[in-house]
Amino acid sequence: MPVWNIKMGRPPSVSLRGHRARYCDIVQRIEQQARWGAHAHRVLAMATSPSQTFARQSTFSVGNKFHQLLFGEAPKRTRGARVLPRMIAWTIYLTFAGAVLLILLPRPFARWIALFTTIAGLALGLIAFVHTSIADLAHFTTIVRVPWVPALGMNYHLAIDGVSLTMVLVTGISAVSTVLFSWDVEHRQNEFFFWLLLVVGGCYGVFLSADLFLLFGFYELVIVPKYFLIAIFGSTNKEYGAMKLTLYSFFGGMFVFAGILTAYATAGSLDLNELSRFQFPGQLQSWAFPVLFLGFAVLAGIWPLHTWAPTGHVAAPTAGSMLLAGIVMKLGSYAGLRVAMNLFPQGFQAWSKWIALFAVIGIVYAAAVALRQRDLKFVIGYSSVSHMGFVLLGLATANALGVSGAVLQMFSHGVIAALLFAVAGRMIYRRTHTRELDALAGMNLSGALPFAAFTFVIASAASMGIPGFSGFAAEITILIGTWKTYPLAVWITGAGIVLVAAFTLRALKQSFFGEARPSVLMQEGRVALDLDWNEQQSITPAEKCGACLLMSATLAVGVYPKLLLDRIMPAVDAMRFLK
Amino acid sequence: MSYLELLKLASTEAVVVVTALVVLAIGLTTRREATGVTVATAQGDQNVGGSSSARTNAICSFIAALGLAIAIGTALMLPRKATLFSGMLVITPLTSLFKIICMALAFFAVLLTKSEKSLRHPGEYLAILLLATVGLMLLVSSEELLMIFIGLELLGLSLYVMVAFDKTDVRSAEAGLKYFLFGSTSSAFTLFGISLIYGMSGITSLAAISEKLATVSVQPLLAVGIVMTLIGFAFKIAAAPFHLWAPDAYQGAPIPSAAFIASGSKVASFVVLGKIVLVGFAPLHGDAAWHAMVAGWSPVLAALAALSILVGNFVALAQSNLRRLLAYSAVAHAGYTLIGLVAGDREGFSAALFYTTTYAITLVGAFGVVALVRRETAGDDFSNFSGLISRSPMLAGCMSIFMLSLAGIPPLAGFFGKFYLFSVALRADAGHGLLWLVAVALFGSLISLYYYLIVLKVIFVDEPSLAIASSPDHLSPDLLQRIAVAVLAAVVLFLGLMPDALAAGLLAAMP
Amino acid sequence: MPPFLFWLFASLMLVFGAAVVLNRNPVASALSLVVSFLGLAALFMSLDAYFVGIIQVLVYAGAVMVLFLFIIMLLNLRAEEGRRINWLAATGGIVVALILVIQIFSVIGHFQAARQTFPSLERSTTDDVWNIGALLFSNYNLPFQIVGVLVLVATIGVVLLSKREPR
Repeated sequence: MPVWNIKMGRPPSVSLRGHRARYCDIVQRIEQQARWGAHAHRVLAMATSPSQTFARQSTFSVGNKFHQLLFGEAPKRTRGARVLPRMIAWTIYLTFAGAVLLILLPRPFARWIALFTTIAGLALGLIAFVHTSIADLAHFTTIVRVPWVPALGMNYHLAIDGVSLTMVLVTGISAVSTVLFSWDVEHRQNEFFFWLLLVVGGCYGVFLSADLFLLFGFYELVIVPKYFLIAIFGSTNKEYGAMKLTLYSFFGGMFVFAGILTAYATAGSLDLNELSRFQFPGQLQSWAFPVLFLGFAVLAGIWPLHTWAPTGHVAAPTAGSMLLAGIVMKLGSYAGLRVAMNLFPQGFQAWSKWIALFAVIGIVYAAAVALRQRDLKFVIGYSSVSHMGFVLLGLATANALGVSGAVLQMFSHGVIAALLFAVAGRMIYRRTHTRELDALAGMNLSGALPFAAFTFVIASAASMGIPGFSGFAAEITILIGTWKTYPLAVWITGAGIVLVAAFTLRALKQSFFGEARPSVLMQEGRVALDLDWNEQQSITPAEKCGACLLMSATLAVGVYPKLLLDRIMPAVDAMRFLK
Repeated sequence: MSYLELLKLASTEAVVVVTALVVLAIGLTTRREATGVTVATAQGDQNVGGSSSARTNAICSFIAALGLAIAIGTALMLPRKATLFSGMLVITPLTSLFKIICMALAFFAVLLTKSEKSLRHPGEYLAILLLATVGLMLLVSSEELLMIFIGLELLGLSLYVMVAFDKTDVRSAEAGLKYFLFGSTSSAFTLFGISLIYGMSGITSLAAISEKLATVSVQPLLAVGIVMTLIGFAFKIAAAPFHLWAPDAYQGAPIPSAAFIASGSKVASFVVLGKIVLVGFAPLHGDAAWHAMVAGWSPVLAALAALSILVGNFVALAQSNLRRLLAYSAVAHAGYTLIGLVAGDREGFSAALFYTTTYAITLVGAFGVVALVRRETAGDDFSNFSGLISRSPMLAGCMSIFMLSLAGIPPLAGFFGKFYLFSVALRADAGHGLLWLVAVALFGSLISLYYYLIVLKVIFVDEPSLAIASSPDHLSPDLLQRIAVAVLAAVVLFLGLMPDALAAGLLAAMP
Repeated sequence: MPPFLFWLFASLMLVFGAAVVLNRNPVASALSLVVSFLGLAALFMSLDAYFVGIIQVLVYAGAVMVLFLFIIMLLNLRAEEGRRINWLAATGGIVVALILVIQIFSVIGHFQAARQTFPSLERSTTDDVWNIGALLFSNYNLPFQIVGVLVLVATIGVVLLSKREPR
């Protein structure tokens, strides 16, 4: 019987893991045990059946095949509920279609196309969020599955669970706000939004792929547009930063490629659901896991391979930094979770303490370095590395709480980092043409740009982990999870959190609340930011919309983290690497 | 074997030969008129001669393209399976498919020729190009050493002439001489190798050789024969250390010649090399696995592959001329493709063929862009490409598709090709014995990304240099060539999105 | 044929083959080539391949060499200037060539079949020319025709590349 035909709401059994009992009913747990046990082949047979069932049931409908191609074939209880969540596959199609339109249509349409496309993506994500039941999100539920290259066992296979839905949401939110914050890009506008949409579409693809080849394809697809986005539209030292970032990404990609090939050659399948049930030999796991995970972790900014991140962020245009910190870095951690950890659980358990060690070093080291930076974007860049350290630490705990916290942190950091970079890159740099903290300190920007100051205060608070914002919810979940596995790491990370607070407060104070010096040009009692940009001094409506979107996202999750955790935890529970 | 039947089975080759003769005749007759006009009007001879030569060019290219189209039609009508003269001419789905691919590549080379204004004798040039195509088709469709050697020579001779064709350019002459010297030396090696194999087995048909060799162990004389035979092909596919001619030929030759060498010649060489090693030398496969090498041809090819990947990629880093860069990248790509043959088996062969076909399509397109840029800016260094995006977004877009496909970026054909090749290599051996070769290849493709990105950086990021920006922007009327480039780019994209279209066809055609 | 004749003709061939390369005077080179071809023809005859041997003399030593000499005379080529030899490269080349020669000799030395004498051929009732002709027009028909195409390519190529273009 397919998993999703089981109704929710059966009485939860008494279990040692109380929190898990809330989300999984008995049958699902039995099935999980069966999956780890000797009945793998039977479960495997069950997994392919839903698609067949659905196809057989609905042969009477006209244009069934076409319908299936577009909307896929996830079986659901009612027809309406069946179509809506599967619409999430359209995030990918719409985004790429928008990119193609951008090449074809003339310039006046460019920013509107980009805006509508990204808003549509976000809306699709929200619809799926509202309409998909939590039971479906507990498993990697197929949305579309079409044979692609049968000879090699490749399928165009998209699927969704709580983790990927969370990532799709953060992609949508970051993408919309990124477009809003790039509203006044004039130079080669079509091309700019084209590259931007390619990055966004590739990210959607990675988060929804359930086929290893497809996932890797989307993963690599993201990297090149990023290069152009930075090298063409960037600022400080842009060509160096772009090249460094790209080569690091591909360096990681090389390891990923090797790991994926090994998994494929051994198991003979590319389907993630099948692979996650395949028992790889222990000896292979012990070397294939680090190769694969390291490859992904480069993109997630693992210490000591994080150096591309700060330079890349600094070189990138505002939109580039927002996307990079907001979603692209998450690709690494997401894929590490989805692929490396799920495929090679024994390898993961053998190596998890090393990951934890690197993560902790990353948290503390990056925070310490951030404390010494003079360029505001460098500060935020290093803070990104530090926050991604939390993600890796959460993954390394190998318990449901820690990993769920890591996923929540991916969401949270995606929103917060986008907000921070928006303020630094767009609101401040665009108007003052400097990001030097010393120079900014003399301007007393809080008077000139009150809205920007407000946004930055919120973002800093969220970044420091003040309760009420998503950062707090995520980091506390991670730390509780870590406490169970690595108590010592919690103490060190605690010190790291103090450092994070220190550099954030320092950046906040110097950038917005410095003492106005008499040498700075004053105009009508305010700082004259840039004589050529007088008309731009006040924050534009587009910027306000973008900032409000991001702030409300971090607040919503901060106040009510169950909103996401309810969906993440069952999905994490279903993964097999948990100790 | 009646002549009529021979004519029927070799109709594709016959059509191309006849087309070549017709083109040659037209070239001869129209040029006589042109020279007459030139003599009469001493003053404006450059102008008149030029336009008349362009007209000849247009007529000849049209006929050549038409002939190739008809030949493709006849190839489609060939019987599914036939064998002539114990393997001298073999018709299988695979050979028919590759005949068509070779003719399609030649077709695009003809289109490139059409807009090559500086070409002096278009009729003769196109005739030789068509005869070289006949050589390709013979190579593809023969499973007999003697015929293969004649095919190689026909192809080789035509290419020497095509490389040295531009007599106004010193570099063309240099390239021609180098290509000729290296080529004839390697032909001698191949002939020596073939004669040794013949001496051992007493027969020249590949299938029969394989039967004879099945009982023989790898002894020194046989090893010499195999290595010598492989050298000739290593030269044709420009695998290191037999690649020294490639940079000069790619850079100095007229652009259609370079495109043809990089595409058609390479595809056909890989097909025939695969047939020789996988069919003829099948019993002497050996094993290239790490720590478990077994003598045979596969360790030799594995060594060639690894060396080509490293040499090609590292030397390409230092290039500042696009055509030279393409040459060194061709060396590296030959290395990647060889991995498929090392893996052996039909899977490995079809992976290698998929890769080399997509590579050929990509390179013809890239040379098409180079030709267009060269026409406008009179050069093909990186500086000539700077700011191409602002001059012609279409060309820049196509070039980025070609470069990214070569680099193996999804969703382009090169990405799937690499995945296919490497996965086949890993699956070939239960203990992942070829992992070392795949690791070298992955490392090589990481290096290659850098220089492909540099090309794209020049095109997209750099400002157009002053000399080019100030030159009058005469819109070239070569719409046809632009369309050809766009079509090729679309094919590369399509094969990346729907690789099954070619991969499944290849696998089905494999014996 | 007694073995000493084989050694005589073989060494004749090699010595004059080297002389082709080493001679600075083109006419001397061409004449050395003739002698080398004659040695080759003798070897063919010793293998009972009379037709090939005769053709070797008629076509190569005769017609082709006459053409060579004609062209040399027509173009009025003079002795080549002595070039400075890059001794390092020359030594390297010689060493590589020597290694190759030693390898080939050792390999052939180890080859069992090389030590046995061939059984002598049966006398055929038909003559060589007839046999070759029949083969060419039956089994080897296709290569024969393709060689025709090959010669066409060579002709076009030579005419084109050697033609003097009007400025």
